[in-house]
Amino acid sequence: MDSVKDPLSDLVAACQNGDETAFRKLVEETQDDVYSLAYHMLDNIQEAEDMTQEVYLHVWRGLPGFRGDAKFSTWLYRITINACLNRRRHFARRLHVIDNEDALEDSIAKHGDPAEATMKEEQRAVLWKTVSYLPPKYRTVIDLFYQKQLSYKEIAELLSVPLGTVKGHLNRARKALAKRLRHKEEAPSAFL
Amino acid sequence: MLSCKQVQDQLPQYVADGEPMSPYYAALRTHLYSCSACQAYAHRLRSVEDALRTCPPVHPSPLLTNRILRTVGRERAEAEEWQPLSWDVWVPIATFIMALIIASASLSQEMLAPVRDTRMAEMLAAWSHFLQSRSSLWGSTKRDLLWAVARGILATIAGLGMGITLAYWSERGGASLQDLEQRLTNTAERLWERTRHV
Repeated sequence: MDSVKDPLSDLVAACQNGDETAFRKLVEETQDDVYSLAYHMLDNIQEAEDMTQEVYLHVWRGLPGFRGDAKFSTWLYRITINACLNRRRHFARRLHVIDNEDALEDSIAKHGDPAEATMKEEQRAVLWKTVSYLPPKYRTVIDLFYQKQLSYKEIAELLSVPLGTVKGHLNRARKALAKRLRHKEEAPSAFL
Repeated sequence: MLSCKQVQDQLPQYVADGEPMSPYYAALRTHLYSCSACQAYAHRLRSVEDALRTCPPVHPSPLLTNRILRTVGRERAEAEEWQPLSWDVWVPIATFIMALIIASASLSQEMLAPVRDTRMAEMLAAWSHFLQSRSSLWGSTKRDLLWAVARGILATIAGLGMGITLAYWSERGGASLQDLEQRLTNTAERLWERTRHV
């Protein structure tokens, strides 16, 4: 049993008692996580901001019923993921989905960056930029794993997919990024 | 002996796991030791891993907090305007009132005898007499029958309301009573404030 206290539990309890200042603080503390998840899932800044607003409306409505069985952040991510999935279904045609692994790697490898560099720091920046070209489903697991530091199991539960799918998505994204690096090493000026 | 393809399939997970020394990866490590192509691939994967672990988070516009709070504030104002109490409060209240009506309709004059002298008993007796005069199931008129059916419907709704409320409260555990008390206090305060403004 997990005995670690949820760091947001006091704030959540204050919100449940109608404390508006606590709600503002809760939004300030968590909105970056919600926004980045929405941004990676929806691939659009404006959509992500609208979605973040919508998520906090759900949160405000659902707070009286939140019992703290799960961590608040887990509950928040679940709301965000469900809301984004609904939005994605709604705008399915607009989303760019690549399911074939070779096509994914080629797609990433072809994306150029105007500020190509050979230094390690800059190589890192190139990779960060390349991450933004990955399809949303890969960016979503990258965000949950690397930014929010959730375990494979937690991600699988949140996304309602098998654990192997989470590992598969992450490994395919890693391979695609490694391929991008190889292209750069072989033809450093190809993307200029 | 593993092929390069097999090794390169396993390498992303191996590097992501921190290149563990477990026996599971023994064949992979042996291959890696002698294959420069796979070593180069592992090197690229380490760069990828490093980049992913240090990738800066994306931030929303600084105005987003206020937009969120405005949206929630509007919703709160609307909720306060149209629904001072949520269903889990007013359903039990309505259920209780219905149950009270049914119970009082079932009171006989004999049951009221011990407290006949009190003013409350007089009121209850008058109320009971009034209802019973209209609700006898054995009455022969259509109006009596209609009243009996209405009482049956009332009892069914009351039972359903009671059941739903009990299920909901029992699911929410002990927090609900405290929560209910808090919300009733808030609502009373709000109504009092409004009355004072009027």
